[in-house]
Amino acid sequence: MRISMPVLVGCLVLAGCLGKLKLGGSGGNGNGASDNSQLPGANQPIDSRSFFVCNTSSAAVTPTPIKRLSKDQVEGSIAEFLADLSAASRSAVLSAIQTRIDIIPNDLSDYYVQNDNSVTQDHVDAMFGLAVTLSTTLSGNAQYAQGMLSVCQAGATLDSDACLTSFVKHFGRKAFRRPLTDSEVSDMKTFYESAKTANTDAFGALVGRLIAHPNFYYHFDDAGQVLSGASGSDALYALSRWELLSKLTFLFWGAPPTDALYDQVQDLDITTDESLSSLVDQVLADAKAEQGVLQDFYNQWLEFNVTLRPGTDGNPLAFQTLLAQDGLSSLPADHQAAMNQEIVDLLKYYIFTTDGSFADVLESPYSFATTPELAKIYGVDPWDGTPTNLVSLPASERSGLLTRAAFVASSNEYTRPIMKGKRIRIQLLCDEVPPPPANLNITPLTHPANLTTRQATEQATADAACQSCHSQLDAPGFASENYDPLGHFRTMEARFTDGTATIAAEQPVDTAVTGVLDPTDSAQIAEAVALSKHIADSGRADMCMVRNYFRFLYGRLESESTDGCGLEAMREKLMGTGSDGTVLGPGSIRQMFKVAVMQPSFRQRKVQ
Amino acid sequence: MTSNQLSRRRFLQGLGTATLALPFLPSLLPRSARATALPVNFIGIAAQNGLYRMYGPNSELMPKTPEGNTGALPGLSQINGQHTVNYGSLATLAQNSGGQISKIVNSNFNSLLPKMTMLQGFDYVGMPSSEHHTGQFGNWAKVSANDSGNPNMATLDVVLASYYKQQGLPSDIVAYTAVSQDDSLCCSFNADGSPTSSRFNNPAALWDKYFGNFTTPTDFRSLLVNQVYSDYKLISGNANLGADDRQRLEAHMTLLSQTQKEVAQVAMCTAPLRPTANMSGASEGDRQLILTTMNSVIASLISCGMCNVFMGWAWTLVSSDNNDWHTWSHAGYANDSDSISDPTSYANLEQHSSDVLNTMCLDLATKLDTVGQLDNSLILCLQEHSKRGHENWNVPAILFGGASGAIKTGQYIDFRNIADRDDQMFTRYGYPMNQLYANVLMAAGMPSANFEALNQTRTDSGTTWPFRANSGYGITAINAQFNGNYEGTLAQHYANWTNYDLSSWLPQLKA
Repeated sequence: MRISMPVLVGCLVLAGCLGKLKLGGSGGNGNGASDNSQLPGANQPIDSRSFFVCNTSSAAVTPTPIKRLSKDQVEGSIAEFLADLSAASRSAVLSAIQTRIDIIPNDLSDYYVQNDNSVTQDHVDAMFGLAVTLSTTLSGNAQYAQGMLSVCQAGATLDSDACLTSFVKHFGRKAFRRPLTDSEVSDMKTFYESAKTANTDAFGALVGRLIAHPNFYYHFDDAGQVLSGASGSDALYALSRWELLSKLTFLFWGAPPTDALYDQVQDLDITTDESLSSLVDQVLADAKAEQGVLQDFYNQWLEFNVTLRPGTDGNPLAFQTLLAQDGLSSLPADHQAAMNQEIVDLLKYYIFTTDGSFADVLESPYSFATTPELAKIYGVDPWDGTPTNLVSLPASERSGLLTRAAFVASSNEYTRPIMKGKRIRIQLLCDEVPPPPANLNITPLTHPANLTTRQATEQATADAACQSCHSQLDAPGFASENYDPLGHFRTMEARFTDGTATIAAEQPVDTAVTGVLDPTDSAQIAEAVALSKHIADSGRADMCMVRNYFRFLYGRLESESTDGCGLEAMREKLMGTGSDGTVLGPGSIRQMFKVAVMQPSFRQRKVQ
Repeated sequence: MTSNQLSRRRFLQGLGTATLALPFLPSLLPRSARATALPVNFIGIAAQNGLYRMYGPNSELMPKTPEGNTGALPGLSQINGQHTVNYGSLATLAQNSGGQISKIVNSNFNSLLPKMTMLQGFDYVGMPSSEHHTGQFGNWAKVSANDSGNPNMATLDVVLASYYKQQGLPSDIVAYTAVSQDDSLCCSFNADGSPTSSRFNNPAALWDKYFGNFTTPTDFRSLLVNQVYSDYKLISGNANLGADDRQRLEAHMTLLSQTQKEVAQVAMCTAPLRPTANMSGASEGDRQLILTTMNSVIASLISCGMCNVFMGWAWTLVSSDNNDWHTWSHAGYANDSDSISDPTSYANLEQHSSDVLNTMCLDLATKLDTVGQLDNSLILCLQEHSKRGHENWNVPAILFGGASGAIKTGQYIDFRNIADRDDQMFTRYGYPMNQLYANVLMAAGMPSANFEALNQTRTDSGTTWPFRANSGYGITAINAQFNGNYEGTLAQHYANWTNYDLSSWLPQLKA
């Protein structure tokens, strides 16, 4: 009988949990409560009463402070700043300043890391150091400097007023994310000349000033029309076309606009609904959108980073036994990355290739496993990455997001149903699970040969006080007990003799659960495929995704009184149903993204 | 500063064979010769695990000590404390043990034995009874078992840096590891539990942060930083901004003004050569090189007076998988029978422990000694477990440096209560870790009232509070887990420590 040392599973006596598990109100990237809403009725058609409430009389744009660039956004902005260099030069410069980027503190936030708005001495020092190093790297290499001067006529230098003006306008627009005013151009030129007079590196000083400038590091979003209130106190500003443009690209690309987009917007007022809508389509169609959407949003929401690497803990000999059924003796070092990449590719297919809904993601019948090892675990051929060559999963064994190895794998020879269930409950359904009480006495979960992991877990949490929460927390995790710690489909669970490769017993797995959505959910769920469908049918994951995308956008919890209209607009697009439940058309993730940025709260900023 | 000046200088690259050339600086003087008090350099180094023969008759880390059950260990001197505390000279112990302290603390350490202090027997009294890594330096909420009963507390480096800041001294903290995958796992935390932000796993990045601007003419940096400050000032006057916006910009400007000062300060110190930027952590040798090169940069930072507080740790050394040591720990050694269950795992674990001590502690101590800074420093190499599985008491601590004369060096002090237990089925208890924390802070000159004011309490019931209220640093309640099972004897051990002052000096430690 083995004791799971790293996975301490105890009687999670969640204080006050009984009847108080907060449903659908706070997600994995939120730690507070939102003022919403009851769940859809269990095992029923989606109940429109559970949707967000749009109250136009209370809808308002919440005041927000100026926002700085995140670390990744700084890196993306520097890369774009260097776009005029050859690919080789740009790569070399980026490599030369990489340690300067590394020094910038990593972002942390309760609501998606790119919303970290803290500024410490380390941030300030790092940004200044980055400006110094970048500028001296560029000025200290003739090839790089020449590449930057490609905006001038051939052979011209900054000593030419025309060249200096072009240079300041071109790189000033990149740094400020808008065209410089005439006085700003004049100021920059004067600075260059004074640096020259001081007999210092004037080229470097000019570049350094652009990168260290507050307009580079901060979004001020105060240059547009005043819609209400008074400047300097409580003004509500419509974002200017330039502010809106960079807000869009940072959202969807994690990077600033390109020169081509600046040129395009120079002659296009994107603050109108029609032109903004068109621009959003254009930005989302760019391959860079995979960064902002898949990596920045989904990766954090669904916590790809907590995917466990099988075989790194527990009994290595037992792991070998599990692996042997694939004819393998080990997994490649990038197997964990391959499991996560499958989720990325799955989302990419439904968002960018098919304009699908989140329900499509939840119920996808295709494997997106590209490595032989992961494909073998699924019992299919590897996918070649081509949308026209999709690989179907064995229908009776696996389909949907929650059946993928990234969601079911364990690091040791036994599964982790509580952790699986917790991830679904908190991340996917946005339920708020209270933390364990301070006096929790954690006892290791034991693994006797005569019990399944589910049975062992149920015994460990059998106390009534434990069950008040575990009955709800664990059920979604039990439903996927028909996948082993590697992700193989199984009907019997291997129980190992401690420290050996020997299977002491095999026990039939039990994946039947009820109450997966809430305590009143009487639906009998047979296993994980049915669980995925049940969740998809309930609309609960859609609602949760809307909440999370809102938090991703604004870095705060939603308030239904002020934000309800925007939230409901997003939900309608995502689910394809109106606020009264009528079907409007197919739900679309991409359309939800689009409508999210059409909202006043995205296109305006209120100061305080 | 010109690049020509830099090129004449040789930067330490690991093995201690190179030299570090620096201009004459006040910081190179012995502490006593300085006109004003300078901070003690504190370097915390967290070692994970334990679970090998770390002490006792067959010790491979601490000095070998014969078993005894009367309180006194043969060959050592005794001093009365809460129980009998044994101590002896490291030089003598090495001499009596074939010329070296132990298999791991081998003859390579001999030249530094007079500046070392080896301590055995500290109990993490408030930690939960399972995995404790990430909690070694004072934030016991951050242990891997997620003990919610312990509120977050600032780790020693943060407490010390904050104190230095109050004194108007440099207050930067550098946290470092060999590879980025280790970054999030330990040991430097702010009072709210958030990790400190200045983290490094590339020595070149650390160098860049502090010395990077040396490659640039001073007037360029000054010109730029002054202009940038003006730009911020101009924008903060924008009438369109709200009050909150302006407040943020003003806060930014306050920080930027500090950058301005540092730009001027950096010009006063000559930089070492920049380490290779593209070091990889692919192999064990690579990871060791990263850490030894990091030590070189740290030695330069200390010499230049740029940073005095550091926190390092390495989960990933012998294996590229930072969890392997955990498996080895459980597989390698059976404490209850003092037998080796899996020689390969045991050897790997022993190598891991040796690498941490040699690569992170000894190498850094040697480099600091070379530049005359070890005496002003205190390197605390702190273990996670005792030699029995998952026991968070009776752990060893190894110190290098005397904290400017505050610590009596050259000693082995054994704080175990030898009269109770036998270190096998039920390992012995010693002194609370909170007292060692307090002594470290006191050695750095921090008044006890300052750190006691930061203390918090466990939030759960069932804890016991034998010590003087609020004394020491950290959570000083006995974790309730140590009641009601065999571990409950920890509470029994401390039952007669009523009103014991954890802010007093540990027996025999103070110079």
